[in-house]
Amino acid sequence: MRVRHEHWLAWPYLGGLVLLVVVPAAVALAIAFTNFNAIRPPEFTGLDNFTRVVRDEAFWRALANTTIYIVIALPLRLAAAVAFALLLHRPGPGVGAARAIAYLPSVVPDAAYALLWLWFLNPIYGPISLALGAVGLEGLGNGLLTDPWSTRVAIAVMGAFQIGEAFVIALAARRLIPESLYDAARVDGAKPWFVLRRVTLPLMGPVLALLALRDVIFSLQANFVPALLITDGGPRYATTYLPLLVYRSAFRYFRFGYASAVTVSIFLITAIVVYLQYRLVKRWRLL
Amino acid sequence: MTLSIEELSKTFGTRRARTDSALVRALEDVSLQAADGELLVIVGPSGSGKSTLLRCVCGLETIDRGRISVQGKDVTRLPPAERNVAMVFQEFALFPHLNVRANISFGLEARKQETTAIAAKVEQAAEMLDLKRLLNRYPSSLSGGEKQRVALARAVVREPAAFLLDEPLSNLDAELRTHMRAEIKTLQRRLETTTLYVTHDQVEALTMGDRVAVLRAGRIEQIGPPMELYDHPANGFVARFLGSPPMNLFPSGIHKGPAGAGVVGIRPERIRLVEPSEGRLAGSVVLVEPIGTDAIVHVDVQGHRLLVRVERSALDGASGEVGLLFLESDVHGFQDWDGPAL
Repeated sequence: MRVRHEHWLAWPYLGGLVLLVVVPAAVALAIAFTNFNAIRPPEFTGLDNFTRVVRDEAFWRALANTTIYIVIALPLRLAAAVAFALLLHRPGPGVGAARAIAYLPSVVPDAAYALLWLWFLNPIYGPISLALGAVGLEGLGNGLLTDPWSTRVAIAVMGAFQIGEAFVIALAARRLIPESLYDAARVDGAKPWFVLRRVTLPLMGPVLALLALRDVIFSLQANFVPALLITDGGPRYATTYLPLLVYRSAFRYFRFGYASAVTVSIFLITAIVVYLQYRLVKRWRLL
Repeated sequence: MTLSIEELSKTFGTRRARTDSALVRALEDVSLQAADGELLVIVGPSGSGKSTLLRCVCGLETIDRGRISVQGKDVTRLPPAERNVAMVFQEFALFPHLNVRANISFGLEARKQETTAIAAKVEQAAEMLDLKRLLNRYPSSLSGGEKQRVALARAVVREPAAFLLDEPLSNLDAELRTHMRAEIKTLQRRLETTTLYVTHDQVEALTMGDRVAVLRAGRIEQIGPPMELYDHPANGFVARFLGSPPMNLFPSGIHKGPAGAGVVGIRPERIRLVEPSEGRLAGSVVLVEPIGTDAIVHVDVQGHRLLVRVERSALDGASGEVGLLFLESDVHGFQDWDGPAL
């Protein structure tokens, strides 16, 4: 029998992908080499925009902010996803509801979620500030959204609840580990902590590595909404992340050429980071 | 007695289930003792509860009733780790991310034994099971037989009071199975460790066991030395279950066996094919299955199919009408199909 390849079924999707992603990306790449400002026709300026990016203090500050965000948020997000997966992988009363709750923050639209946290994080009357005040930490509570570091941490913590996909993937990874391995470990006298360290985490390792890779890519772009709606990049530029820098350069200052150059830089940085992580993971024999 | 199980019962199903239909009785009043160094085989068809019995003994399942003791110590309520037994699982349960050495040492490391002592014990176990050149390999690169040996080494290295082997050969191909059968038996003899060996394969049971317990629907039907079970089955079920091919059972209307028997049985190898007029029974040959030196001849006797095992050289004339000749002393009588022997 002749095997029919129905690859044409993928064409509409691929067509859309080219039109909506590849073409704009190519345009952005082209604009990065011009002085386009949406008013005058663009002129070719060579590597001027990239030179400006490298020399721009705002760019380095945004890169540092993004890095800090990733360093705080990534471990939190991974740990939360794995913890939920390990706690909720076995069926039982209430487990279905608990899984839904763990997924819920990822379903809420980003803007609504950000506005909710704007209230949570309010330094005067927000519940977090009030709770901190109740245990004698008024200073910390009042610093929310006004002190650079507590704001950075707050935005990262906020992101640590939106782990729905990572949770589902970690859950699937845990359920792929045969129960007989746990039976064998129990008969062999392994305590729960030993089993977690020596069996569960190593066997979930490849998936965790994949989640980490994905989360870095995601984190380089994800904090745009909270930075725009909650902190407006502040206080003192502490939450001006790379996506917000691009947005402002383009749509507030109409420096499209420069914004495109930053975008291209983000793309290159992402590619480098992901490649380095991939190399590291390969060395660990994980993938 | 290294291992003693008294009146063990186990039911699966929700605790809250009030109706009996929601409950599955996996084991009912199972009692057995294994002497020091004995290899006791538990054999039964699938679903008879033999794996459950093993899981109860090692503590992976809780029990409803009964008592389990290891070397005189009551372990009924103890967690698996404190029962001093080692289990070999049907699917080997090797840790895929650890090499052979780390797999073998896992249980010792979990018990926080000294590193040098662990290394020495692993070497010793690897030597015993011919695994020395595989110590740095990972399970995915091992053959079925090698995985099996690693799983055994993992149990051996712990020096437990008893081994619990759950169908250890069922994932191996036929040739390897015969080989490993001998290897396990030799190893067990050498270590003189009490062993509970679960299998559904009656050939394995008969060849390996010092004693054999036949389990059916959660109850022990008979327990004893293999040949005793073979020669004197306690009931129709054991008669049908042991032997390859199994004992022929047929209604006493065809051949009147011992007084009061509703069903009579005779082993296929105890029958000779003769001229129709010379046999105690007569029938017609339906099928001949050669199996090496022997052949299994299917004979239709008054609508019942009897199997006869004969040497292939004695097959001449084994077609059409034949007579079946056997000694009256080889005839077993049972009350009914599953009923007790008379």
